[in-house]
Amino acid sequence: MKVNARLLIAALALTACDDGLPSPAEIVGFRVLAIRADTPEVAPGATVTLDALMVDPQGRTPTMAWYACIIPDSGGGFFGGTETSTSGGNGEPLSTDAYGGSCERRALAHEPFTFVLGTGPTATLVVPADLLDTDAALKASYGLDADLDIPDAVELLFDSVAGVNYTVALVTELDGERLETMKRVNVSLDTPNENPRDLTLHIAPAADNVTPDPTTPAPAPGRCFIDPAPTVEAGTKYRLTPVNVPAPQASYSVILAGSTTSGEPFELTTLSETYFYSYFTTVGKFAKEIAKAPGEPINLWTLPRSASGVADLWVVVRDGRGGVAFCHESLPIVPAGTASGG
Amino acid sequence: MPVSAAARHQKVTLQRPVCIAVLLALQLVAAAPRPSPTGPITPPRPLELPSASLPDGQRVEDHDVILVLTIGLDGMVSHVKVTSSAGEPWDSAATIAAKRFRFEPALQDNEPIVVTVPFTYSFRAPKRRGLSIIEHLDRRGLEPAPGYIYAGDVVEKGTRTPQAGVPVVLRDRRTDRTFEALTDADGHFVVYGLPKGDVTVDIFTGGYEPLAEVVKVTATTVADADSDARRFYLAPDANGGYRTVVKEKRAPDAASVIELTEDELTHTAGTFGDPTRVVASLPGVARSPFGLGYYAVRGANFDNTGFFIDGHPAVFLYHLLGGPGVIHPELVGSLSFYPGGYPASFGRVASSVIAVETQDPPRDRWHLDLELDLFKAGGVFSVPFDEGKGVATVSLRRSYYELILPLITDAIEVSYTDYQARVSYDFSKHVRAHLVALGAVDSVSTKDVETGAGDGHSSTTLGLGFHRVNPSLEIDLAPGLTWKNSLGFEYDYVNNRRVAEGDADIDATTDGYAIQLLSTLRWRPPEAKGRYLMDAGIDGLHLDYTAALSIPAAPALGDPRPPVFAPIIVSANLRSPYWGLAPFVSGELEVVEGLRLLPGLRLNLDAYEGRVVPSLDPKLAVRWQLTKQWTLKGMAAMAHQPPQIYQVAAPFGDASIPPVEGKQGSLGVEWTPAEGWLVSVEGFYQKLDQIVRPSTALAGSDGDVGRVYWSADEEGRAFGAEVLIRKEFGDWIYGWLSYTLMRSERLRPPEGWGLAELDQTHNLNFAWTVRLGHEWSLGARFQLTSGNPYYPIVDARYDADRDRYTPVYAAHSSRLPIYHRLDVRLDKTIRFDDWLLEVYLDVQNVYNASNPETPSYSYDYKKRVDGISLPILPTLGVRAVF
Repeated sequence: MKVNARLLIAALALTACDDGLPSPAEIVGFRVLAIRADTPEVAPGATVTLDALMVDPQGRTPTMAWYACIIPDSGGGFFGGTETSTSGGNGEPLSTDAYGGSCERRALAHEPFTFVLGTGPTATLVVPADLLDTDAALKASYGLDADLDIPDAVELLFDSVAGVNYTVALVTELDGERLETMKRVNVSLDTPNENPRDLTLHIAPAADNVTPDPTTPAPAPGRCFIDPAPTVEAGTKYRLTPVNVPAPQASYSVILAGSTTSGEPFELTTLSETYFYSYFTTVGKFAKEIAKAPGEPINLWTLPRSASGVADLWVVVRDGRGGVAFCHESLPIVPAGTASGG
Repeated sequence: MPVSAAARHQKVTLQRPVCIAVLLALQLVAAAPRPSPTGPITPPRPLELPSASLPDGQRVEDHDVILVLTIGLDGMVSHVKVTSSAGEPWDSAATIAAKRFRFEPALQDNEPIVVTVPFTYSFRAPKRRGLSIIEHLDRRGLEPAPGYIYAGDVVEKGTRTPQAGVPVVLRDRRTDRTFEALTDADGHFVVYGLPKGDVTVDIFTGGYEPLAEVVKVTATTVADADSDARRFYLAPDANGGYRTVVKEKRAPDAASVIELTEDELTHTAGTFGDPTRVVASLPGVARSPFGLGYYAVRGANFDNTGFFIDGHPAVFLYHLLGGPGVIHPELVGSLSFYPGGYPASFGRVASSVIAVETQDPPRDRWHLDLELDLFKAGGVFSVPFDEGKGVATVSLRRSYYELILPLITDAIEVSYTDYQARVSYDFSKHVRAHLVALGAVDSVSTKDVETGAGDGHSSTTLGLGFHRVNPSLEIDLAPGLTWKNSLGFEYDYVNNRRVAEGDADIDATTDGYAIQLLSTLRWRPPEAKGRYLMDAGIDGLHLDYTAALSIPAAPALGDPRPPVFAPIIVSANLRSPYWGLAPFVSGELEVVEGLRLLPGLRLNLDAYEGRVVPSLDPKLAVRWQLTKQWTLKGMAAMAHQPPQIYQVAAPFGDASIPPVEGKQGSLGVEWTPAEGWLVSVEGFYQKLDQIVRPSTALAGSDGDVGRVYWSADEEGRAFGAEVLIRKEFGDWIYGWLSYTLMRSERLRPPEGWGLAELDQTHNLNFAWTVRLGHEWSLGARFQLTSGNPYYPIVDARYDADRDRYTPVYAAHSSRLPIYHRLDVRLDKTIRFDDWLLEVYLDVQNVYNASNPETPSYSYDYKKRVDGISLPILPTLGVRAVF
């Protein structure tokens, strides 16, 4: 039994002090904050409409191009680690993928299971109706050898529960900077997942210690708060509380690779959804960049005393299995000492 | 005894004044305040009368030198006076020889007494052949010695180390007459026949300040003298007491082995006095990140280097977070570093071995050693018993980070403790036993750290430790044949726990025990005189560890990873008992003069998960001393390392995982240009196969599809050259310069060969200590290494499901900046009579070089800043040795 040196070194590295790098919650230039599929999980043959939350304090519009492909999932590491399909894991180049993990390059090379979906702020993906008729897509999605004989039961389990992920990529280009944003659309025979609905937040000065009414009606589509839009005061700390969080959260079946009890290669288990709230703004700072429910979804937003004009606020909620919703508010800022709230 | 002509001459020339003098002397004797025996005196009987030595080339002639010997109660000659001179060189030759005479003491009333007796040393020219010397003790001149007795002890100031063989001269201040003695093995001396009153004690010996003190002589018996005996403290001279201590050097038991002395192990700059950290500056050893005590030797992985304490493997050799070694430095007797081709008595390690042998403190008296520095305090206490046949020792060290860290942060707590208790006993000259208990306990915990989701706080705890009991027995079965048995019982544990609000607890607890028997026959036939020898033995090991795990699983298949750490916890219990049996044999054979072969063979039988996996570790080292100064050396060896428990035990393990296989070879030359100097140049090659790495793949065969957790398909190779220039300890300067030129690569299918993570093309270490005099010493260690390879991030993509940017790495690696660091250590010893105080200042990274280990990036990888690096780190320590 040896102490794992790499774990200790990693732990040490992760305890690094604040290094002055920008926070992802601060919006200072063009950003893509989310891609939304109108239905994040679909059956073969379904049509999926895609759009994206793109923000730019300067109001610019990038060029947009959409693609779809199947990229092998290289796994998640033994402890749910950090390898990704775009990097090959452990900081090593993905030299085995001729396209370096890019869906755009794969699609432009007309690889199997790829589509060029067009340009513009939205796109439509028509999932082939015969995608799951053979195990080819399954093998491509999970990095299995093309000539591997997959038992029928395993294939059915995957098709029914885990599904095959179509990766949708939005490539934006603005002022010479290109960014490829990716999102998965899961194709399976399972009951399809839906995006979180009725994303509603409550805002109040933290000092007021207000508990929002959990039955607060949903705001207008795309908004975070119910009317009227509140003003915010410079130099004030606000509490942002998601309301209408489902309780209990929806449960769903998943497959885990390997079983710790039965010795079977896969374990079917049930998980509950978790909502992850990502916060973004053009003014001020948040106490945390991401909050989650169940847990502690409340966030604190502090505006500096020098703040003025309008504070843009975006909130993206993800359900941890592809579903996403987002909202936006533009909040006028009043000088410090003026009453405000909503 | 025949009466010589000289004696007759003395008798003939005895005249009236001499008679009166004799009468007076007899009266003086009678008036001496001593008990007055009355019986006849039995003269001393000669036991050893060594012959005199004349200067080379001196022709023997007929001469008589008449001496008066003072023979003490122990039969030794405490004083020699020439009463009838024959000139030089005869007087000196006779005097020197007479001082080495040994007698049964004279007796009176059956009690030994001190006497003076005339003695004639006659030199006679050889009549036929050889040197004829006739010695005569004139019994007629035998007298009880007048005078008094003085006794004392000569020790080194501060350490109280007895000084043996030191000449002590007592000088009568009135008559200038001198009396001499030599200290015995205990540093004790007794001088007889002294006048009462003040005498000057003069002690002058190499490496120490001369000592001259006036003492009062009053004792008339040895008992009285011993009870009045006082200590004379010799202080090292301005050169710091430099004495070349010639220690018997052990013949190398491998082609290349570096053995370090106590001073080298405890006074090298930048190591905080920790012997085990000195290895970091030796050739072939890559620089480990953050100075942590993990070594990649000749391109191997960290866990391919085995640590052994008294022959038994150590779970960990260093305390957490860059702490010191787990053994108190004062109990480290030796440290041997085998970069490759280690002896067959070691095993289950694919590459290199660091072997620490503990030692007992000296058995001459009790010892107490207390140390305090910025981070820890500790002590060692030992006491001999049964007249030095045995010695009992205890040591304890404890960190006190709990007092320092709260000044900086409340978020982290660190502590460590190590202890050792040992008893050694020599049942006889041929049976030696030891019982050692040692252990260490470490703990690192964070508390109230905000989780990534900010949904509360989390606390983590990492605790690990080991406790070992190690009885051993050495029996000399016959001259040159020793049988050594060592049994190790050890309990180890590692507890890793994370508790977070909103998340399930993560817990990984591993504990268990190890039992090992090492039984070795060492054959060193005296008649061989080192030309051949052999070791044969058996190494039996049983490990039984269990792991209770509640750990995060990989994300569900088909699901994206969540934006923050939201683990799916799976539980598992692992247990995979291991049995290992390894008979081994090794030897040395001097084929022709200067050419030594060191073969070795070890058969490993590893049994786990229902399998028995055999492997063979053959080794051959050659050392060919071409001349007194030049030696060729070479080595070829194989070594196997069984997999870890978690790599083979269900449900995550794969019982078919084979041992890691290492193949090593080296060829080099050693040059000793002068006494104490060594220059070594050596080329090496190492190949590692079947390296196990974690896998995330789904794979299948024969109609099965499943998760693969481990894959034993990684290969490693390294080649290079090492240069070592070393000045051994024993002079005003000692240290070494090491340089390694190396390339280390890894093959991880399906990719081709690439650089290993710790590939450091150039690695230069300069570690020297200069003794400045007056017990000051200054040491410096400079390290210059190539930066580790890394893949620059050239782009990033945004994963909209995870709300994370994922880096895109360059196709080819680059290197971090060159690493350079200077450590300095200043030592000062202050001697008091019975104890000494050592004060040291050890500063790591004196000029605060910035050596970032890994860069840090902004969330979108567009901005990069240097990662953390170790800053300047001074520590001040004091040590009191009693």
